[in-house]
Amino acid sequence: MDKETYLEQLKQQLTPLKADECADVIDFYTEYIEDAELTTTEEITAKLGSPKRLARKTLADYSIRATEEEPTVTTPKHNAHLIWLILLAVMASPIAIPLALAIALFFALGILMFLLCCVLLLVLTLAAGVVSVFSIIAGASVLFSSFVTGIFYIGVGLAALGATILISLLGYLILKVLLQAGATLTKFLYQKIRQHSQRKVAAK
Amino acid sequence: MKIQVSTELLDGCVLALLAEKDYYGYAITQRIQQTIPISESTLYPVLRRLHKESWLETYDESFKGRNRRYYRLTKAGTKQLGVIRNDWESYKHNIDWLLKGDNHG
Repeated sequence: MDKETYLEQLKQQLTPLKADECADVIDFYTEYIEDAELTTTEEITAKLGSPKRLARKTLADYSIRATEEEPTVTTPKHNAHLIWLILLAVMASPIAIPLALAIALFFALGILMFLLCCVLLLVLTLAAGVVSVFSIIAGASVLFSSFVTGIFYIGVGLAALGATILISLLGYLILKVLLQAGATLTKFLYQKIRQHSQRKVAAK
Repeated sequence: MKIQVSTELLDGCVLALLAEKDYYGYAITQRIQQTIPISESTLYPVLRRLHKESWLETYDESFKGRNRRYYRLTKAGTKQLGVIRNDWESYKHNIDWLLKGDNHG
């Protein structure tokens, strides 16, 4: 039972991988555990590390190599995912504490700025949206009692609606560019760290 | 041993093992660990990379009612092993030259 539990936990941590890649990893370690004659979770963890740690090592290897091979894939989701994977890899690798702290601070600031931008854009979009809806409703309601005022408010409303669409599109573009820049910077930093550790193979 | 083995050297070690005979995953780790201290989770990424470069191929054999995946060197792999051996020879020569201090005279 313990072996199955370990492998199941490992599988759950490998969800970012494609199904066949995940199956490949699971097959490899299933066979490995059998051949090493490990039975309890403790024995397996002593050799391979916790499922989470093993998954992080595997994922880090996949993500870095994948981005080295196809640097043109730049969907926002991919970028956010990449930053996350690299963060996990940095946390899992043995680097000096001050460096880790500096990196953590840097990323905390970066993420904070990004969230602030998100909130600001969201508020702007919402505000413009609300103004447009209310103006159009107000304009329509007075259209028959005062035609000119009605037309004016409907016009204001439509303009605000246009602004809403523009702001949201522009906002999406800005966030996309920010995320792209963040991913590039993260990749660059990670490569520096790797060069720093001279691409050594993690030994015990 | 404090000296870390680079990925290129580890690639070479695995290819050299497979040049002797075909191995399955666990046996490769065991053989390498007899000489250099690699962690148990090091080998999978190495094998994956070598496979992707087509330097080795895999085939499955049943063993005690389960599957066992064997790794076999390809022609390209043999060639690559030659490249790594050459690189290592010159690298080794250069490091010896620096380390052994017979470069002062």
